[in-house]
Amino acid sequence: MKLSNLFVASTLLVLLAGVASAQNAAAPSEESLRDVLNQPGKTAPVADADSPLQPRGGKVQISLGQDDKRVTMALSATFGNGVQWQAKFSSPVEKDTEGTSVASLDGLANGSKAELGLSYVWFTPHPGSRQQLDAACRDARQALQQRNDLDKTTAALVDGSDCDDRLYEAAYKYPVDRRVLHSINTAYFGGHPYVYNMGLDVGAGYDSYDFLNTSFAKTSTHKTGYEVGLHASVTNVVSLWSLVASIGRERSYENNTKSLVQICAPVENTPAQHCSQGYASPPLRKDSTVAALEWRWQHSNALALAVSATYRKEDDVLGISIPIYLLSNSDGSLRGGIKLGWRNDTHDTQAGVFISSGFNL
Amino acid sequence: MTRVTFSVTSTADRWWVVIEDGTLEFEKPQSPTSFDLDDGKAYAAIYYAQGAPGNAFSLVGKRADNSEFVKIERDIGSNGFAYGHKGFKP
Repeated sequence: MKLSNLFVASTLLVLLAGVASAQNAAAPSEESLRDVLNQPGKTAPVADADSPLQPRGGKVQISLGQDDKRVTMALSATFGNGVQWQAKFSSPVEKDTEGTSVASLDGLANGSKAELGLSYVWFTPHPGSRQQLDAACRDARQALQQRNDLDKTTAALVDGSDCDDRLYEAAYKYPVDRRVLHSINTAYFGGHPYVYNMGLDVGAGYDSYDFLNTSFAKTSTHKTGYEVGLHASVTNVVSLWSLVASIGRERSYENNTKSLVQICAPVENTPAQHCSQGYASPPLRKDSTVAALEWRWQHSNALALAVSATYRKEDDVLGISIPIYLLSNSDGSLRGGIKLGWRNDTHDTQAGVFISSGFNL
Repeated sequence: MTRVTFSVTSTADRWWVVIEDGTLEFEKPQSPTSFDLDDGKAYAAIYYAQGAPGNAFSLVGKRADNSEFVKIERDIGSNGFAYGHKGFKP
């Protein structure tokens, strides 16, 4: 990990009047997936009521992790009335490695990056009467009791006295009679189990680029890009899926691949030549509009899915990414699986394993 | 009527609590919150929480004499949500 780059990302965030939440983890590993997944969780909320970081009406949470070959540090807090802010600092684990996803159209993904998001979350509780709630709980318990194929965890929930989503999720997953599922949905959500989120995102990325100057000597330049965007999402907390849409404007820099040249010079006192490659011009600025749509679905601790399509308007590029989460440690804080990716301009496809810090809708 | 106070301690991003029949509700960061409830009547506390897996959620209801009449303690599950209810008599 490059801590210096992480520092640069942190500094960028301060320039943005910064703030920070965490999505973590992911990179193929030499360790077996199961070994890694059995490690204690790496995401650690560290806020408490006496936190000096506590803003008015909210608490700051900090987490560290790794995401798509990037090390991340994130902060988040919730204010009253549903307003949340979150910020993330990230940096590549290793410079000059390819990103984990060929489908990523994020022009700032190769350097250190600071992101700041402000969201408004709203949800209107629609619970029924105590009798409806008790009936839903009793019916779910009785329906599950009639099955003889329950795993130990579910059997313990059925034998217990708690009336909560852990029991109801079991009712959905086994599944039980649809009337029971309908009564759960109605009792807790009035048939409308949706949480909505919309907000604004800004970010800045910092990276260095090597190229050849006019005397063909290697030189380096640093560039700072930025992005601004809007996002909106809806999450169904009963059937456990979410749909996320976003659109943003981005300024990034990339090496001018058309200027790639090979320069050779004779090695003194030998007939051999020493050759090296480089770009004969500085990086190109690229302004683009990027829209994305993502559908996330959780079946169980053993299976979750995220399908995302990202489209860049200027050059008509579409990228599709499908991470499939297949393994989980005991508390779900780390997950592993396979990731598929494709983009229409290069027709590159990608398939590989990944380890991530859990799955969130 | 008896005066009761509900306190939520949680690292969840958001949480909401409704006291049946839905006419009394409060959400993050409104804790502690006090209500006047009918003495001895059966109620239910319904909670909803959203956050990272493993975030703790604790709801405690106490009477004016500090005696506890309802307590819910749990962690947010791997899907990032938690909801449920528990009956009580203040």
